Amino acid sequence: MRERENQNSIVLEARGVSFSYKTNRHNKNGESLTVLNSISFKVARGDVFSIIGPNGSGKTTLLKCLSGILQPQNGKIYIGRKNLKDLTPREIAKTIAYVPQIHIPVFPYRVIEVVVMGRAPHIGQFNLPKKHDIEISYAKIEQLGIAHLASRDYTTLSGGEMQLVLIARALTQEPEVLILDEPTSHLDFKNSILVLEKINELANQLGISIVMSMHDPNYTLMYSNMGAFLKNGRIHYIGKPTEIINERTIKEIYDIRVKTITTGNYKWVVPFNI
Amino acid sequence: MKNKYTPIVILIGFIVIIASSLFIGRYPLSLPKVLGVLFNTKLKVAENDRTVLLLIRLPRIIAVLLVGGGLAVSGVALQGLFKNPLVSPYVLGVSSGSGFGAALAILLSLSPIMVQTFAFTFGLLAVFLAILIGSRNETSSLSLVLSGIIVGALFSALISLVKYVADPFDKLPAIVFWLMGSFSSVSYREILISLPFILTGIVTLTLIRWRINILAMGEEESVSLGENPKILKSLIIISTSLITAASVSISGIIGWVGLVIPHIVRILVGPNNRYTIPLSIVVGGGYLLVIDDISRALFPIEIPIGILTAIVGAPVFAYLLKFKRSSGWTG
Repeated sequence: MRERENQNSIVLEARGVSFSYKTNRHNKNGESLTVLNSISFKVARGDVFSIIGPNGSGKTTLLKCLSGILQPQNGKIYIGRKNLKDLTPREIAKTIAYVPQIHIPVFPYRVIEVVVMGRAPHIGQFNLPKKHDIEISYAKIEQLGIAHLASRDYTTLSGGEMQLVLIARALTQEPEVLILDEPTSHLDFKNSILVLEKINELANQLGISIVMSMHDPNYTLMYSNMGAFLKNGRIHYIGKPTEIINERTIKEIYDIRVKTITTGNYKWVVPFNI
Repeated sequence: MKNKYTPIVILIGFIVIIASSLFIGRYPLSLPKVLGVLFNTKLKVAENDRTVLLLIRLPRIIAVLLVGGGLAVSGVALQGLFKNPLVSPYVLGVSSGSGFGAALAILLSLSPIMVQTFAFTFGLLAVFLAILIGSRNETSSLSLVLSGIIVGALFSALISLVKYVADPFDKLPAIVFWLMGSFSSVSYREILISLPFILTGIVTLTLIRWRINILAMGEEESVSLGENPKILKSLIIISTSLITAASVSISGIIGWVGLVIPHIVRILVGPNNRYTIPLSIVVGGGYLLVIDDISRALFPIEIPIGILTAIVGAPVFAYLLKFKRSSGWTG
């Protein structure tokens, strides 16, 4: 339950974003499959905004729209005052960094080689990373406490380490917004906490805005100051996690019964009599 | 890179291989004679020595280096694009297309220059067809591999057809020898025709080599890192197709170099294309030169190099697959 002053500086805004996959595979009439339906929200500087919802609710699609990987058919996404649509992938990558779910690449690049890829939008199209770019990369892995991994093969790391490497890579893009797709999905208990702590540190200390998709309402309660419930491509509730996460909303979104308990400053939800 | 001295060692080996290749062959050439021809020393050199060195051995060495380096670098780039270390430069059907072009030109009794031109043109045509068929689903590279197989199969069948109707005493052997690959008749003229295409391709791949790392992480990920994967993929496909078609048009079909060398280079210096792209050119050229030296010196008659690259390449690849797998790639 991190309360943060709203500095009133909106970094990222979605206005009525709708997205559908153009495919006739899912629908015999050849109609498109609507995944996001008129999504609107604002993210201020230093916000940690969690999007929670069941599998298939559109979380990943929304994050991909926000980072310019997918283009929504309707609605607008603003970075500061600029419409995302008017920016090139290079320009977007300098402001918004996307941290994908961890996956093992085919080629076993060294950790530092993976991290320096984040410099791509800052490096001329036909140029190589220079000393300056390598230094920034080392600084970022230092900041995330994984400097000792620099020469290791990325493919031999644990899930938690991989996630931190990808976050370090995103930071070398020097972004204002960090978008993370289920940063804890492949991590054990300790590593989940570690990664979420690091993410909060970035928001608090550097003022980077975080948008991430989450599965666990308790992590959302602990580690974000803004939350939205997404189901079937629509936002059902949006606001402070402590306000939107309760017995009634969990029942509505996930169709399970939970009980909320409060210990000290923290609110928890626990499954109850399923 | 694992060891910063590796490239220096590779480069020294490369120069030694080139230098010794000048002396290898039926016709004996001594060190003073070679130096005499190359550097115009005062030593009198017989006209035969000059001819053998400058018009037979030197163009052959240049051609082998271009083809070996070109095929190897194309293999590296395409393996990055397809995120698959088992891809060879012939994945999009270039070899079958070129083979058909050459066979057709031989069948029609065209000049050697036209055989080369046909080989080059039909090689590019095969890639073009493969892209046309395979690019329906733009996010999938798998469909491109499949369409490459389709186009390859089509042109292979057409090659068989040409062989079937060709004169069995005169043209059929010529077609068969062309398909097996050889540098035995190469001259500066063939080199000059292919050189611009091979160099353009190699320079382009060298310029974008670091970006290939990013592309190999996945297309969506590369977009999020500010890349335009469509442009990158197009540049790689155009460059490798030009290199491969131009190479095959000089030498005929030479397999395995574009598959084995990328693996060897990755084992030596790791998978970072910043190093593997330039070093694969050197290692590919040097490797093929050794094989070519063997093909022209080890046996009383010259063995077509395409046969030797397979005889040497298959066991080497089997060894890498069995024992060195982890150092080159995962998955």
